[in-house]
Amino acid sequence: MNKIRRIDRYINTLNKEKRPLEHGIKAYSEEHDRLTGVVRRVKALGEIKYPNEDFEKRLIKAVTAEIPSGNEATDGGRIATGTERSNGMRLIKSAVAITAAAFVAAFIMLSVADQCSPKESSSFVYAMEKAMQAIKAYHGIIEYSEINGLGETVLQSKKEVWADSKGNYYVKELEGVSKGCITVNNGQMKWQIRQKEQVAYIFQSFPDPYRFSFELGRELEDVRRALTIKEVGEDSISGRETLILEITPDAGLPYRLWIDKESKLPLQRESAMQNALMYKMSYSFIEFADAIPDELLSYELPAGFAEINNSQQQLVAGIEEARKITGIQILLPDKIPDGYFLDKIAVVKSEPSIQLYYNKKESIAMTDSVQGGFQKTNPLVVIKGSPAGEFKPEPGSLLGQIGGSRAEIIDDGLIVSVRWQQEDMEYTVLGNDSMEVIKAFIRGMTDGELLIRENNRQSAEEPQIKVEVDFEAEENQQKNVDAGHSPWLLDPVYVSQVFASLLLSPEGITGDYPVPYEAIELVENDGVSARAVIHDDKSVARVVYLKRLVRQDDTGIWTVIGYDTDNIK
Amino acid sequence: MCGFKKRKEFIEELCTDTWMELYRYIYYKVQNREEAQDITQESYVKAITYLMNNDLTVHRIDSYLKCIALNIIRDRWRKKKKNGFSVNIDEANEELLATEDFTDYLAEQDEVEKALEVLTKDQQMVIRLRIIKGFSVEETARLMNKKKGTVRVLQFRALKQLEKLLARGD
Repeated sequence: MNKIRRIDRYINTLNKEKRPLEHGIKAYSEEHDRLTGVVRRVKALGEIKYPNEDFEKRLIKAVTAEIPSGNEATDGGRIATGTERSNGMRLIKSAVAITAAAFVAAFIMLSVADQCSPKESSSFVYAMEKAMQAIKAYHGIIEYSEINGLGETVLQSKKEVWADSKGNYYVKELEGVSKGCITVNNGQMKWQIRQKEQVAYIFQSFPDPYRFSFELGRELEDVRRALTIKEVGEDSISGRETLILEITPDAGLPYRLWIDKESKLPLQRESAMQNALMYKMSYSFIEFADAIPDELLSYELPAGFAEINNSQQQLVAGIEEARKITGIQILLPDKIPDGYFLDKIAVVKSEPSIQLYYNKKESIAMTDSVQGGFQKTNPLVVIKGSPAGEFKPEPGSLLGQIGGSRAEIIDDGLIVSVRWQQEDMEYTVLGNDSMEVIKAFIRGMTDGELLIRENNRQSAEEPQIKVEVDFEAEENQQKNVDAGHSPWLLDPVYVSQVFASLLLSPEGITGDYPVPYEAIELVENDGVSARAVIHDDKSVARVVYLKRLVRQDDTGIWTVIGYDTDNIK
Repeated sequence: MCGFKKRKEFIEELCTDTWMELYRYIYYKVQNREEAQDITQESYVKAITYLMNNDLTVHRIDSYLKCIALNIIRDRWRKKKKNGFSVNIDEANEELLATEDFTDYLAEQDEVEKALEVLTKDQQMVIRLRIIKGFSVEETARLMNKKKGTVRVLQFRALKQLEKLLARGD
């Protein structure tokens, strides 16, 4: 075999994810060695191919089997082992000694503590919840740092924060690229004062996707949703004794949380190391108070600053005034869930739309808070307005039906939003409460019932052509997405677009996709199964069937399982 | 404390907590799943066995595991020395390699990308399709509208050129 063929075979073997002969079994020439080194360096530009889902289990089983137990030790002495692997490679040739003392020493040195039982996990959550409920407001300094693989820490920013149990906050950046920037939400309005630009921006108070990273209420919520919580050690942070917890979230990589032993509140959070970087957020100072000082929650335009109002909404005195300004006929919902009251009414003239803001009476909010004391108010907005155009649900949203019309449902974990069009009007109901409460508001508004298809129900329609799925490849794709790569796989419309385009250009796509994104309409999506219709005459696929095969939640990738070539059923 | 259950739990914890990072590190070196899985397993067996036998303190278990993995790769690949050839794998200080993690990964990536940009368009394409995308020679030939033999020759010359460019970069 000549050297050209040899290097070709080496590439083929790596592409098949197999061990080449060159890796310890056979040598050819120094030139070949150098070139295989170049191949590996180039291949490292591609994605890491992870093992099958069950690798962790197999690994544990194999390692446990290959390491003799302490019970096998004789007189605390040495046991000779020499296990031979099926591929003929010797794994352990040396004699190993196992004594109880050595094992205990190794056990302690590695600081691998026992995993909490579910009961213990819930006790952490309970302790944090109780601690949060006792706090009315807090004031702290948070440092956000980046740590590289060598353990070097670089401070990214430093923020002074105030937060209270009503969900209000004040954040001032002390160090970092936006030094001096102040962001405040007082429940009525949200504003940001940017020193560098000498501008004050005004936003709507709700919904507010930004609060600030390492907000204690949000941390508690993350801990509540965690899959596992492990106590892995102890540490001292700014003079406070802390427990270190390792938390495996419902999606993403495990992270560590330092909990103050005294207050039971998180003081530091450290992400997992990824691409040689990890992120640390730490309270260098924290104190508790009865309230955020009034002056911090009062808006005042600093002298010489320009004001840019992104809110465009205008508060009105009553429903009559709202009707008059917008020309929209609206009736207040005749029946709303217990505990809610109409807080305020706003209009946006340019759209036009009317926004009804409901809130919960504080005594009720206190008892059924999902945030354990923080963000405990449950604002809920009902919006009725003129549609901006044809109804197009957001690509990642679930789809339901209200009064025969399609409804877009988005649940980001904190806020549920339902949007639909009916009788030439567009409605939105959004709030941080349960789906049942949202449904009750929808009923009160339109007499319509929100119908959501049962998850993963077998679709009435079966694809004409089934697509063979390589589950292992899908699992690897999922891992890549979890690591932040190829986020488009989370979008069923994008996945349909790529699939339909590749049917037209199986040799690969250069330039624009032959099937445009806008030509794809998601007609079904229950969060696990979806169906997309392609409105493009040149497309071979007219309907694409998708499923979340690996993980059935918002973090799961979509896979095409089949398609129709005929017209829409 | 030292019974079978505790030992099993210890192995479980250690593997669960660290395998992903260790596997990534090994895969980066060997660039294939089969070998990466194999070396990952061997690394744990060696690491735990050594810890059981010796009174030593490990401050960074992840670095310790990587160091062992690197030694395994070296040992395995150097078997070829008997045939008179050495293997082209990092000769850097073990401790440094074990602790540096992927710190140099981005710089390395950048260096290779820059070298790729110097190649001719056909050479770049053949390298990207064959090695980075993992297409077969047949698929690459079809995509590039060339004969299979031409693709192989193009690929070989591109690698030779890259070798020179990367050596110059060093």
